[in-house]
Amino acid sequence: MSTPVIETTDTNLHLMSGKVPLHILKDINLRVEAGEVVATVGPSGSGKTSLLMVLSGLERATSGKVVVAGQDITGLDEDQLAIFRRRNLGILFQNFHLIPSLTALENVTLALEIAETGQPFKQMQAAAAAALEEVGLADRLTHLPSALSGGEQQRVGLARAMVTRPRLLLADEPTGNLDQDTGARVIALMFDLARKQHTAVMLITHDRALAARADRRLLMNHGQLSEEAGVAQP
Amino acid sequence: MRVGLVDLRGDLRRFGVLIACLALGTGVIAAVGSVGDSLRIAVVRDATTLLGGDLEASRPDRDATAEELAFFEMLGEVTSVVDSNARAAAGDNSAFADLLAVAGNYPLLGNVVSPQLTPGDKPAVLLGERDGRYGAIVDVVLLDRLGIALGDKFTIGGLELEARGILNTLPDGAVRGFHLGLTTVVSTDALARMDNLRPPLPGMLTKHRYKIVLRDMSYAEAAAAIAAQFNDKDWSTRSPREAAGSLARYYDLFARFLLIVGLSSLLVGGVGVSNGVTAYIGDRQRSIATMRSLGATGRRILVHFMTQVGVLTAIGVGLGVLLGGVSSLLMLPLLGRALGVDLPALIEPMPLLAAAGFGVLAGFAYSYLPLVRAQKVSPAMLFRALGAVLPPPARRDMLRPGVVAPIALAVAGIFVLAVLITGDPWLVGGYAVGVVFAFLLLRGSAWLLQGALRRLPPAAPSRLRHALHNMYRPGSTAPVVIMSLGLGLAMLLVIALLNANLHSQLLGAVSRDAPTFVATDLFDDEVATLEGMARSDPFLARFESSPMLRGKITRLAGVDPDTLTGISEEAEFLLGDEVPITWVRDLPAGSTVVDGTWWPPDYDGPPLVSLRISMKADLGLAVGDKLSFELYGETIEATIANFRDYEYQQGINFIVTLSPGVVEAFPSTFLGTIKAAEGHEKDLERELVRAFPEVTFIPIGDALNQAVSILGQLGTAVNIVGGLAVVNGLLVLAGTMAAGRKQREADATVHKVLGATRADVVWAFALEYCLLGAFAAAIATIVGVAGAWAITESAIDIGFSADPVLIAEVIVGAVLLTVAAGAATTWKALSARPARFLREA
Repeated sequence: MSTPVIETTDTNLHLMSGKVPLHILKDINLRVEAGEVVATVGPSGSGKTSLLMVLSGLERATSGKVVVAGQDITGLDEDQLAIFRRRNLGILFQNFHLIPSLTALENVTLALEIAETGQPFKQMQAAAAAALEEVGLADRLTHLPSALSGGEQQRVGLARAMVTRPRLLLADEPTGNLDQDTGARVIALMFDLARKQHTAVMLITHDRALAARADRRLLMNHGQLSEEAGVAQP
Repeated sequence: MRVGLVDLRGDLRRFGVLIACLALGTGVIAAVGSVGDSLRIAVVRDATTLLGGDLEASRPDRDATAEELAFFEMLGEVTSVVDSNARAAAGDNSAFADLLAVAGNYPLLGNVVSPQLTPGDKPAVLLGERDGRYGAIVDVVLLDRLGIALGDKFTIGGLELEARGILNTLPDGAVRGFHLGLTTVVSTDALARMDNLRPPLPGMLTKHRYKIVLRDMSYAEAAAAIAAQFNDKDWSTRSPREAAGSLARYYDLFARFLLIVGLSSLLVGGVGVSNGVTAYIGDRQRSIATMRSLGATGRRILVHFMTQVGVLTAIGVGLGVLLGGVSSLLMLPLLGRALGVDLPALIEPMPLLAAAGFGVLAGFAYSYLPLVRAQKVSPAMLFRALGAVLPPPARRDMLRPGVVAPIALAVAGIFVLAVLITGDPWLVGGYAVGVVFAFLLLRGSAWLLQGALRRLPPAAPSRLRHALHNMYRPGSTAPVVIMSLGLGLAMLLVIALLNANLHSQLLGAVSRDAPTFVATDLFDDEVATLEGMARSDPFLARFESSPMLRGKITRLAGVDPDTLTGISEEAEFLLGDEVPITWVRDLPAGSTVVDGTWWPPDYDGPPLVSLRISMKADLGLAVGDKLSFELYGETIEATIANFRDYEYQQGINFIVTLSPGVVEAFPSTFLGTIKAAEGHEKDLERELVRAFPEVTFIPIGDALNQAVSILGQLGTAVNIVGGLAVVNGLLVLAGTMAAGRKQREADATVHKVLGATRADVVWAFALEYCLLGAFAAAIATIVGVAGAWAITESAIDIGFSADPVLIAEVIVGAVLLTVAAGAATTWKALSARPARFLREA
C-alpha cells in the first residue's frame, strides 16, 4: 500500500469560546490516499472547516497525530508550516480570498513566487497564465477581483490552488457562494484538474449531490467523523 | 443627521488619530496666538513705563549742559540715566560691569525691583552717600564673581561702593537692548566721582539718557522743540511707541513665525483627517451600499457622514482650544518674568476663536472630498468582492463645482483668517505658495513614482518585486505615506535648518573659536608679555594681536561723509570720529575676499584699503574708489583694493584694513583677543587684571553666552512648536498605517496560507517602507531646504547653509521611523490568526 496523503490518529481540537472550552474535533482517525477525492458533509458547526484548518496547519491540533504528505505537522512551528503548505497544499475557500489589489494573473503568479520554484519570473507568469487558461479565464488575466463574477473569482482561486501542483487540495465549500450551475462547473474543473495532476482532494460541502461525485463520503457530526453509510467505495 | 449621530455610537475610539491631529494643530495655533496677543497688548499698554517717560533724549558723548537740562525741565519732569561699562573689583576678583548711573528721582514711572527696596521706594534710598561711601544695587552674579556679600565693598573706576541691594528688574529693562557685563546701578553722583571710564571698545560708547514725563505736550511737539532748540545731530529722541515698538516688532515677528509653524502643524494634521475619513468611508462601504440599496439619496449619505465628521471636528477643535488656552495660562507668567514685562495669566479670546476657525475650516477642507466619495458608493458593490480601500474618485467627479467650490471657500477662509491675524498678506501669500508647492511636489512625485514603477519591468528578486508592486498597486498607501511623512519631515527640516543657521550665522563658532576677552589699546610691552603668557600660562590658550590706530574718514569717493544721510548703523560707525583702523600683510583668518584682490605680503606701494563687504552697498562704493583718512593730523589717501566678508566672532577683523607701507610709520597700539583654556575663564581674568591693572579686558564670551542663551530660549520655543508639528506628522503616519492595517492583515493571511514565512512577509514590508521612507525623505529635503532658504532670505536676512550631515541625520531617522512603523503594523498583521480571518471573512 502506498503512503497516504492524510493520516490522522486520535486527533482532537479544543478551542475557547470566550471562557468556555469547546471540544471541536473528537478523536479523528482519517486516511486519504494519493489522488483520492473525499467529500465531507455535515451540519453547520459540526467541525468540518476546523478539520480542514487542522489538516492545513492553520489550526494546531490539541492532541493526536496529523501526518500530511508524509510529514507529521503537529510539531512544526509557524514558518515550517508555511513551507510545508507551499510544497504540498492547495487551498480553495468559500470566500475566494483573492488579494483585491492584484490582477487574476498576479494572484496566481503569487502562489508560484511564494513556492520558490526557482523559475524565472517570466516563466512563472507563463505557468500562471496557462493555469488560468485551463480554468477558462484566458481573457481575464489583467482583471482585478472586483471586476470578476463570483464564479470567475473561484476559478482564479482554483488556478492559484493548483498551479503549484500540490499533493493535496483542501476545498472548503468552494461552491457555497456560487449558483448551482456555476458551482457545478467549478467542481467539474476541480475534479478534472485533480485527476490530471493526481492530486488528492478533501472537499467540504453541504451539497450532497456534489459529495456524491467524490470517491468517498464522510460525515462529520458533533466533531466526530465517520464514513457515511450506504456509499459505495469506488 | 439623527441617524448619523446614532451611527457614530461606539465608534469614537477609531477616530483617536483624527481628533488628535486636529486638536494638536488647533492647540498650537491657539497657544501661540494667545501668548503673542497678550505680549503685544502688554507691551503697547506699558510702553511709557517701558521707556521710563513720554520721551527719551540721548547722546553718546557727554551730559546735558545746564541750558539743555533747563530746556528739558521746561518740557516736563526729567530724570537721567547714564549707560556705560566699567570693571568692578574686590580684592583679587574683578568683573566687567554694565554700569547704570541713575539720578535721584529715577525712575519717574514704574519701580526698580529689589528685595532690599520697599515697593514704591526709589533706588536713591540705597544709592546715596553714607559714611563717605556710595551704594550700589547689583546683579546677584556680580556678588558671586567678586566673592562678596551684601554690605561688602567693591570699587569701580577708583571709587569705593557698597553693595546694598540685589537687582531683580528695572522698569525700563526690556527696552535697554543688548548690553555687555553684569548690571550695576549707582547714582549719577557716584559716577561723577569715578575716573578712567573711557569706552572699552571703539564704538561701545557711554550713553547719556534723559527721560521726560511731558507736561501738556505731545511727543511730536516735544521732539520738534528739542530738534529746533539744539540743532545738534548728536541728540536723538525716541517715543514710547518707538522703544516698545521694536520690542513688540521683535516678538511679533517671532509670534508670526510660530503661527506659521502652528498653521503648518494643522495642515500636516489635516492630511491625517483626510486619511482618517477616507479609511472610515472605505470601511463603511458596505453600510453605505446597503443604505443606497434601501433608497438613500447621495445627499442623505453626505449629510449622514458630514454630521459625524462635524461632531468629530468639534471635539478635536474644542480639545485644541482648551489645550491652547491652558498652555498660554501656564506660559504667560513664566514668559513675563523672562522678558521683564508684566504678563498676567489671562486668556485673550480672539486668538482662541481664530484658532477654532482655522481648525473648523481645515477639518472641513480636508474631509469634504472623502465625504463626496461616500456619495459615489454604489449599491452594486454589495454584489462584488470589496476591499477595505475606497476606490479612487474619477477625475471629472473631483472637478465638479459642487466639489471644488466648498473646498476652495474653506481654503480662502483659512487664507483670509491668516492675513487678518498676521496683518501680513505677503507673508501669508508666500507661505501659501510654499504650501501649494509642497503639496504639488509631494503628490506629483508620488504619482510619477507610481507611474515609473508601473512601467518598469518586474525586478528579479521576488521581495523587491513585491515591495515595488505594493507601492503602485491599486489602493496602495504610498501616496499618503509620501504626503504625510514628506510634510512632517519637511517641517522638521525647516526647523532644524533654521535653528542651525541662526546659531552658526549669528553666533559663529561661539563655543569653539570666539575669544574669551578682547583688550584694546595694548602697548608693545603688554603685547610681548601676553605673547609670553600664551606660551607658558596654562590658563591662556591663545593670544592674537593686530596693530590698531584710530582715525577719521574725511572723504569717501570724492564725497564729504557728513553729507550722507539714511545710512546703516555700521556705516555710521565707519564715518565716526574715531574709527579703528589696522594694517595687515596677509588676509586675516576668517575673512574671504568677495570683490577685488588681496595685496601681496611684501606690498610697499601707495596705500590700499580693504573694507567689509556690507560697506559696498551701504555707501555705494566700488573697488578703485578713493578714501581719505585723517591719522594723527595727516591725511592719507587710500584706494579700495577689495571688499571682504567675515564674521566678528572668528577672530580679529577690522571694517577698515590698510595695506602695509605708509601706515606702518604711524605709532599704533594693539587690539588683542585672548582665549582662555576651557573652564579657566575666571582664573585667567583674575590673572590678567592683576598683571595689567590699566587694561580693560572685555569678557566677550559672557556676552556671547548670554546671546546664545537668549537664542537658546527662543530656539526651545521654536523646537517645541516644531516638535508638535512633527508629532502631528507622525500621528498622520500612524493613522495611515492603522487605516491600511485591515487590508494588510488580510493580504498577510493569504500570503501565509499560500506558504509565505513570517520573514518573507516582514522583509517585503520592511523593504517597501524603506523605499517609501527614502523617497519621501528625498522630496522632503527639497521642500525643507527650499522652505528654510526662503525664510532665512526673506524674513531673517541671514546667510543660508544646508548642513548635509544634519539633513542626512533627518533622512536616516525618517527612514528608520517609517520602517519601524511599517514593521509594527506588519507585526500586528502577522500576529493575526489566519484561521479566525478565514472563518470571519
